[in-house]
Amino acid sequence: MRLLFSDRLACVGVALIVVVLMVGLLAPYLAPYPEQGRGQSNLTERFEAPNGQHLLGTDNYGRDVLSRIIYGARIPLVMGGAVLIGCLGVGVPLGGVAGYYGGRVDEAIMRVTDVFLAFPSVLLAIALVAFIGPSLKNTAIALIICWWPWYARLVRGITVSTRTRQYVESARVSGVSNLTVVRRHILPATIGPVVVSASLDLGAVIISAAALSFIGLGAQPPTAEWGLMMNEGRPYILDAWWIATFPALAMFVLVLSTNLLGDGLRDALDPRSIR
Amino acid sequence: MSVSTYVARRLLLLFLVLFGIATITFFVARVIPSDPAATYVGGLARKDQIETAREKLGLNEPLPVQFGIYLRDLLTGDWGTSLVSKRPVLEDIAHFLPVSFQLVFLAMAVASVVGFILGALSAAKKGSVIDHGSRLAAVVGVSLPAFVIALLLQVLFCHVVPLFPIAGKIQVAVADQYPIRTITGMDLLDALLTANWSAFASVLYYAVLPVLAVAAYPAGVIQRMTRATLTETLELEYVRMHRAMGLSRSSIVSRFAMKNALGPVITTIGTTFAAALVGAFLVEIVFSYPGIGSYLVSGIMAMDYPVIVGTTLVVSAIYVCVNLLVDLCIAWLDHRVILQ
Repeated sequence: MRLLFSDRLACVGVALIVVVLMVGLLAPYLAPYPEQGRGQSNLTERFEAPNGQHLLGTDNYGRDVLSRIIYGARIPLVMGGAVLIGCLGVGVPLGGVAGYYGGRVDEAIMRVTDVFLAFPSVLLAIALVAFIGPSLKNTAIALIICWWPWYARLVRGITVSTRTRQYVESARVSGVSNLTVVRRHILPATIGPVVVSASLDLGAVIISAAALSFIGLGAQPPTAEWGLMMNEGRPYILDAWWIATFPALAMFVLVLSTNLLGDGLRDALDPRSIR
Repeated sequence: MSVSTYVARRLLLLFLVLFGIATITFFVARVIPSDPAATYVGGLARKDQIETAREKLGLNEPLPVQFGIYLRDLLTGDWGTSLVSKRPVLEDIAHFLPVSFQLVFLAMAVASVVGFILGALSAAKKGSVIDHGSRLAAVVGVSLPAFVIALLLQVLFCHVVPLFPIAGKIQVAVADQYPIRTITGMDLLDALLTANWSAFASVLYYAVLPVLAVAAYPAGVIQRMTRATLTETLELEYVRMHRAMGLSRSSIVSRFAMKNALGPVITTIGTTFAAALVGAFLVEIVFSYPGIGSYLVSGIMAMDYPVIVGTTLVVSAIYVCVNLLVDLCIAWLDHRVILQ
């Protein structure tokens, strides 16, 4: 942890993520036009360029872009967190079982992950949401279905190497139950790598979720979500560039900060990596 | 393991992947909607129309039988007809895929050159302004999703400085006057082969922004990889000896270290190629570029079931094959690599 905070760029990343979180939490108080952030249209003020009243302009429904970006800050981190927790919920037990028991169970689970890891998961997520029906919840479900195998793999690897350690074997020999061995010895060993891996994935999950919203499969209007806002602003990019550009910049800042944090964590935990 | 066994194993995996995708999409499409036949004919259909559709789709059969029929059709090349274009899905895909390929190939060429040069400069002048600038560019490239870059490029080069066209793949007037004869389906190559220079120039001009948008991510990754491997090589004993003999850091980079760095960099080019393929999907939508990504999304919007499944299967197959080719290339280039 101390190492992480000695990395200045990682600190910037953490700070920016905290800012986005706070902005999302305090959206009703920060947004100049909260009702427009929630989606109410204001047709008398459509397509206003950035000015004193609307710092980032207004969109095709006359809604204040700044307010909508502030409300939009609520979605990506919650989405990323929910998807990653879901992946851990599925991947950690399956990977643990595969690694701990080995044999046929292991073989079966690993072949399934092989198939999942062999092709672009976003593509399957797109196809799945297209069938289940577009919504944020379904986007999260589809991303979990496509992403858990990475964690199953990771946890299996750690479990296999921990299980053969002497202290684990002696615990087993002395009659400690399987459940206790897993809880006391194996799970703690997986926490570090899983956390690093999740933090490295956070940016990718956020991008994927935004990409799905961008093609109309994730958040639905009138929700303020950055990917969706970019899509809504796309037809007006020449005349009202601010509608799509500012959500794009917000997205950039957030993904950049998750990448900085992820890189920092990796460097802090793996001293061999090159700075 | 011999190369042929390795290839056979990977092709088996390819088969499993396709089977897995076919299975998942089949069950999601048939089981989750309460009445697939009603979805098929649309919301305003009469009862008898739904009944006819149910008969036609074979939905009265038990589920395992339906699945069997579905797999048989896939294997025999009957992938269904697009509900929108009314053409066989495979025909449509054959038409749109080369356009996307062209985009990705161009983007990877640009990304490899730019990424490698920036990475090499960074390593040669480590700690300098050039290094910082090049690293910053790489981080931006890696952090910005391709569709965001595409939008920002549109704002910059179609609005602020109107240099490039905002959408399409060729100027309509040029396409009318100098039609491209289809040979490979890749317009640029076809125009080149038929010496159709006006069309060639127009296609190239329209491709500039989409290519840049797709290239940004791979370029960033390649820059990082080049810089890291070159830096590592520069710490090696023999390089230090050359330093001691008075060669400058830059000349060591260009004369000796480059060769060592090539292996990992080629690996990176391969792995990012697959990412670029998916990134290109969204970029196509932003630039209304008529490739497989635009096709898939229009299929999604219209709930065009055969299109969604067909595109997903084909693109996944390509993805698996590209990865296999990359692994084989690496093994062929570097004999220390063991295929397993």
